Amino acid sequence: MKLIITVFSFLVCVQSVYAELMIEITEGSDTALPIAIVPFANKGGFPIPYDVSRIVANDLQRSGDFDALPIGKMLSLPEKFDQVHFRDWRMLGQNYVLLGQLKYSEYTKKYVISYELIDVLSQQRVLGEVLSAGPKGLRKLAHKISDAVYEVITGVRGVFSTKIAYITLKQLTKNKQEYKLHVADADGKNDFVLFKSNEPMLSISWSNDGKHLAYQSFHSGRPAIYIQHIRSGDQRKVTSFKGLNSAPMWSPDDSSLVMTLSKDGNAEIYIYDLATNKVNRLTNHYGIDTEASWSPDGKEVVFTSDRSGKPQVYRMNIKEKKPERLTFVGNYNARPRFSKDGESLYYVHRSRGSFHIAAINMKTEEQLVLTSKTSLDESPSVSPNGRMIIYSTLRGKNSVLAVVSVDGGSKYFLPSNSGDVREPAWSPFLN
Amino acid sequence: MLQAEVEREQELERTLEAEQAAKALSRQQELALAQELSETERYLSLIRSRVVNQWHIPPKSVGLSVVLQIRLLPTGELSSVRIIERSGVKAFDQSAENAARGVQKYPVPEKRELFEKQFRVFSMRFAPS
Repeated sequence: MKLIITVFSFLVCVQSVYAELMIEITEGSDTALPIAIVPFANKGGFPIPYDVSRIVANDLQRSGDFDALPIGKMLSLPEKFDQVHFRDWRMLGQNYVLLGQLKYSEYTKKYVISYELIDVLSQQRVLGEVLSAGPKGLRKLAHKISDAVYEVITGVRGVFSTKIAYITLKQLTKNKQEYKLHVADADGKNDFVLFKSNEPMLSISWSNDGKHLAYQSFHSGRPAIYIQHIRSGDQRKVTSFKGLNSAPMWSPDDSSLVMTLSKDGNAEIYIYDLATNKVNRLTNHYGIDTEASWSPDGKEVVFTSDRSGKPQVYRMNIKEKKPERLTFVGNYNARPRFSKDGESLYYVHRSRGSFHIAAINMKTEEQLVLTSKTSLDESPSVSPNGRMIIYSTLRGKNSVLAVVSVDGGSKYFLPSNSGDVREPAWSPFLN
Repeated sequence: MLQAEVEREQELERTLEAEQAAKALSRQQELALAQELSETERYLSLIRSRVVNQWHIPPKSVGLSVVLQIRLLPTGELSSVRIIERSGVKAFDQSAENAARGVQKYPVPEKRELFEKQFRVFSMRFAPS
């Protein structure tokens, strides 16, 4: 069809003789963008605790948008712009070269890193910076470089400096378990435990300022919702009504939480105002309503309800309070989360007995299943740039964290050494 | 009278011949044009597929469009690329420019006349669907 259109438009062109030929390009390559990340030269030879250029290469590779050239295939290892043999990199099919050097300063006790990003095809430097960090700040600095490279090439802000929170479960003895709430870098490294308990914890939500987590915990002996300040560790109980207190999620302005309570007899969705402690009931149905999530504009919530007999996703304007069913494919669709632009919704979808992460376009209502190789996929959470979804899935005997791009293209698992890992939540941008 | 008639007939014949010749000529031209068209179309689709292979479309680009003007050497090597209609998004424009530069050698017709007419200078519009 495209060809026919082009031929036709071309014919039109020819008739107005010598109108310049116009070639229409509407598709691109399916492959990731080739980039060569040359190991940064260590000037002076002072030992370095982290391999900065390697962290950058791993970051970009994991994004699914880049394909990093293995070091073994490089024909030279330039340290600066004027050492770049463009012909070689072109022959290797590379579009960009990232190179740099680092040096330890005995005086400041810091590493000074200078890097340059070079466009092989236009033979120009598109980015160059000098940064410095102490030994402990090198990972952070590497992620900062990844963010800068990602943004200048794709035009989209990188998420390499963001964080994730999740819950791990370890079986201590036959009847005793240990639950831990972790916060880690987006690549799963550098984690620390914010809270631990022998009772279950569930449903983490990041405040939009990135400073607090809200979650459900049973450590007092009964379900309650807590807010914890990440830096200080200060924890406060928000609700512990009779019955269920679950699935909290911050409103876009951080003024309230939407949550599930059963204090009035049945699982319903409520908005809890953090300043006034007042609750505003949204749903009223004998079916179970739960797992609510706010739209980015704060005007509506989406939630799971089995009011039709099976779990399905519904939307509701918080003023009008009229539920509208959104999912119709299959008999299990649950735990919806909005994309950052509000255009899509991600949720858990069951097909042929296995659970996958799926997306629905809010305008066209088109549904797309994003994960097919994993099963028992749970609790999707969207990265702040809207490009990736983190979720938990079963791998072997254990539950692990996995990431998939929103177009379903790239996938990877986050390594873990602490038993079952669940309930991931991706932070907002943190600076 | 007779002379006049003969002359008229001859005149008519000449016109007819001329018309036929003209027809034949325009048929030939048509054929040549058609051939040129199919030739152009062939190289056009070759170029398009080379460029498509080189284009790494940045995320969130649907709805954007950039037009480049391409100048080639008769060998198919890129002589220059120039943005003649920007999208307003730098990373997107850059991705298109890189796709154009990424083609090592453009497939172009050997016939110099056709090259000069269509492929010395042409435009490409990048607009992901």
